[in-house]
Amino acid sequence: MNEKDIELAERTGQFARRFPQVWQEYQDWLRAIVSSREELQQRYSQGLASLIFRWRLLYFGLYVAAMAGRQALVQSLHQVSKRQSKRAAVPVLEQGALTTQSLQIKRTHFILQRIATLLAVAELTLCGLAAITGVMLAFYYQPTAVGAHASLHAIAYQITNGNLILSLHNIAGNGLIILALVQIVVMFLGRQFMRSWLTAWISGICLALATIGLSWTAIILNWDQTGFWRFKIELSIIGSLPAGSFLREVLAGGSAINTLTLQHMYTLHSYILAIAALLLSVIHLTAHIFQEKSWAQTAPESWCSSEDTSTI
Amino acid sequence: MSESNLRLTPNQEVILAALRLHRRYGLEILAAIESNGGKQIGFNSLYPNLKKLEKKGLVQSEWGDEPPEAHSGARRKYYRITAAGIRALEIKQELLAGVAAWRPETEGA
Repeated sequence: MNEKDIELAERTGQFARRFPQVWQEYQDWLRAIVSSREELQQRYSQGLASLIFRWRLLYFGLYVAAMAGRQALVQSLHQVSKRQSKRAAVPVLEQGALTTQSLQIKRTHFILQRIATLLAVAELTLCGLAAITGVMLAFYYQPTAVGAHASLHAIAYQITNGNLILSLHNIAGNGLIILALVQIVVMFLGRQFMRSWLTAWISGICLALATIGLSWTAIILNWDQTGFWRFKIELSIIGSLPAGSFLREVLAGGSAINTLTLQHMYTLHSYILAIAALLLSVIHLTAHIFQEKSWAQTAPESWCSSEDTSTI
Repeated sequence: MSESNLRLTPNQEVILAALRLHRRYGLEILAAIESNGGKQIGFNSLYPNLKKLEKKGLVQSEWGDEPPEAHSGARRKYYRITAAGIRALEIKQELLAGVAAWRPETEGA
């Protein structure tokens, strides 16, 4: 173990002391890391011992930073909710009325929170269904101007269960858009009750945008008359926006609508947006589960048992 | 204390067991587990688990009398199991005993 390792430990200590609350809680961890170096030297070669020692310091530093960030976020959210509750307070109401109102608010919060979580579960399910059926369709679909329509026709009428898979893909995609939009409304209604809605809120909006994007990029994939002309009109609208020609170039691969356009749309639809939607729906559901767990700690037993919420 | 607070992960269970009879500091807990051939808890997961147990009220910490470490200035903390911690361990052991003793009901008896 060389001087550099000791210096690194000192610097890590200095860094952690910047966050007094976290330092107070976790300084014994750093002490243990420094104290463990002799044992490391006895067990491992010098290089490996130094590597493990540095890894432990790095992990400690990252953990402290994460804890400090979390505390800062919780404090700022707490302040925001305090300000909101101050604004919402009605001084003329009597104590009993206030308690009843508070219980009603909590009850409403519970209902909205539960609906939002269930919607997030449904969204993830639909997203998974759309992804699985999408992969199945990709086995037969040809993203070329000549082959797109013919391959979809073959999927629908010649391949075993092809029509079922295509229909499920369409239903899952459209259902996802509807649920994502309903979810935004539910979260908007419950915004004043939600403690840490920021992650769920932002991921919900991004998910809604991704699903709309998925639907839009699928317009041309059918390669039929309706899709072609609709896409042509919408592409020309995009072209008239500021920096629209660039966007048009990226989306369509040129001014004409041809195989290249189809391939661009297929890539955006199947890889970029589909993966983004899956990730976002996972983040969205996770955020809701955490939110519900934190809320369930204060909720009366009769509304929801802790067993229920912990197993979602 | 709610039932969910008394639930333990395998790592938390072995940490609590190490603290059952003695107050110990972090490295001592690791040494106690390791010297008894138990599953070695990762160094990086010990302290987060200790803090979780402390938040649940299953252990409590106190500063040691040792001077701060020369390089980092960090002090040592000792951890002690609480009555709730002992109860959590007992619940776990009752569960294991219950699982071991369970027999299926004989049909048509």
